[in-house]
Amino acid sequence: MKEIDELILQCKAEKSWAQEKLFKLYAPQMLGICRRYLSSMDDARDAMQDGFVKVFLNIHKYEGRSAFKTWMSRIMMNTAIDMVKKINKVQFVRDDYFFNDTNDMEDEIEIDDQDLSQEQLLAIIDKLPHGYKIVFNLYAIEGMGHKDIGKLLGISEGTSKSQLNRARTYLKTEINKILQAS
Amino acid sequence: MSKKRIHIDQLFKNGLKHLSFLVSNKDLESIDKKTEVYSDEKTNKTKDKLDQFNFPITDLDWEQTFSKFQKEKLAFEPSKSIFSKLDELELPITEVDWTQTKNKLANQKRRRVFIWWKVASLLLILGLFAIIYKLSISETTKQRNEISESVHLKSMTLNENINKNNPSKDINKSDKYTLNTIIKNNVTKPPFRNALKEPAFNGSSLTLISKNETIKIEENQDIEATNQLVLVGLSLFDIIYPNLNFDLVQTNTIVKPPTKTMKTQYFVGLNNALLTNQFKYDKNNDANFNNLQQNADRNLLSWSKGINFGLIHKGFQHQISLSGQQINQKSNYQFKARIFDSLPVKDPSGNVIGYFLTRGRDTTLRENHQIKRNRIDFAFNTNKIWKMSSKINLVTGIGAQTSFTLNSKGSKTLDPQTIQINDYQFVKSNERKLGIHPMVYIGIQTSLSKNWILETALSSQYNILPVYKNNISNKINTYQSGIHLKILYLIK
Repeated sequence: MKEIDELILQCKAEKSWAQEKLFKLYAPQMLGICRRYLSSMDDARDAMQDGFVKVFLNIHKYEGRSAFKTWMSRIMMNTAIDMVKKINKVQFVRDDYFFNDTNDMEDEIEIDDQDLSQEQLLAIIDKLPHGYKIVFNLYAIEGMGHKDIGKLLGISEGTSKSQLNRARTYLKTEINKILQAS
Repeated sequence: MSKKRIHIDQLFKNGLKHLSFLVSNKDLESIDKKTEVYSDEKTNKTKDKLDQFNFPITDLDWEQTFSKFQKEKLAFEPSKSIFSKLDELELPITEVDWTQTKNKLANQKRRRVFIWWKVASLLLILGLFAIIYKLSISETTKQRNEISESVHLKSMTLNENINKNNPSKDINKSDKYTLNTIIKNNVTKPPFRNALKEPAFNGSSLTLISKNETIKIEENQDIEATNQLVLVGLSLFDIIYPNLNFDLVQTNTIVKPPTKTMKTQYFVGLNNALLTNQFKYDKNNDANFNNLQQNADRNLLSWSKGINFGLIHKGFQHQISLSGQQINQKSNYQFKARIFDSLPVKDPSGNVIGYFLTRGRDTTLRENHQIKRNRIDFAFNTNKIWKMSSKINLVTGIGAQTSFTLNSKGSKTLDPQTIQINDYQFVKSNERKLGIHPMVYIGIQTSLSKNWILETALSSQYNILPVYKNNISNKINTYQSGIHLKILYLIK
């Protein structure tokens, strides 16, 4: 931890070697975050690089209230979401048909953890429409609540829930297809 | 026999948590006997037995337990558990990633500095305007005070004359008067009807206008310069209106405007220009090159800023300027390509020795690239000054500009030699750094005060030297046109 703190200090002093070290330390994970939101690897790399630029330009604002990785992940997430919106002109539409909380239990899938690899999971997520993908990522992987998702994306809580339910239904179908095929 | 109440859940931790029974002492004794093996007070022998109290488990146990665990997880939140793998997703990065990030960071920093520079320049210009405006206001006030303080040789009001119904003997039609102050009153009846029928002012020194029953007197430049207004051949007797107050000074001499001096005036100034850049593609170029590059070109805006120095002599303005600008050439290339599916061809030992192309389909590939060029411009132009009014001049002129590219950066661009996207560093060596641009210029000069002039102008120029050196067969020339804003200070 001390090493990271020292690196952050040096980055605040705009030392190039420290920026490079920090980049190489966290870039693989940050690229993973960006890739979850962006289907194209090139776009994900672009978002990751833009994210790091933001990190280096704003690192003086980091006060250590949260873990550095969390702070940085948040920046990457926002950068990736902005890029998705920019590239795809995403619209979040509330669909009342899916807007109920009772659907959770219906989404059970009997699956062995080893059945699906990371690549397969990514491939399945990539098939989701962009709006669903963002909400699903934020909820299921980042662990954010619908209220926070709504605030972040500028949509209502209901829209977030409806998008998530649609995403789950879609994912369930896709996973079942793969399992049946295998 | 005493009875003890114990909770069954002490024996059965999972389930039936709230179920309890009454048991007798006999029951308790027998329970003690059965459970004595679990007691800490028993002998070491019993403990050893307990330690060895193991059952064999099979892989099936683990699989079933894990399966149950998975099911529980899924029941809790199916999507979270399945995709939790992605939470720790890490992907390999390359050295290029760091290089590109470093470049982006440097660009971003430069852009920040550039934005601050723009804001600072804007504030400086606004500040200059404010100072000039304030100076011009105080100068006007000073001039007015000087007028009011001037000594009147003789003064009388028209009102007095009319009341007396006998025009002053001192005033004759042929007399000449200097009007020092004019008091404008709202007029309720049509005034100067007679005066308007017969021009009240002889010559072009003054113009008398009656509109909406209010008097206005316009001054021309020469009169303003003397701080006095001259009434030549004013027919006072035609002006009959009681509420009009004139403060007239009889001079009997016409104040002559100062004779124009053909003195050379020097000036310095700041120049800002917003310019658009266009390309002209030679007709003899490769059609594919022209087509690709023309479709990729995006309208380029650049901002030039610099200093001016020059002189005004005999109605001509000659000036030289030194300025700098950054031109960002953005290109959005689109290529049509045919992509083939392929099947690997293997040798008997299973090694891939080639690929067999099967199905082809057309696709469009898009690439965005940008080249930044920093250059300095040295320009000379001569303008003819056309006087429009006392404060406004029209300037038209021609000139020439020499430009020199100091440095340029970019990722990739269309190579004019190979007509393929290539690294800019390979194309850069074929670019010409020097440019010669004939230019035309038209603008308006506004006099802000005695020394300050604001010049707004349009210019257009054409680089006669192509972008690429002579060994490149594909020729491109650049056009540049835009709007200039200059602040000039006349040096006495």
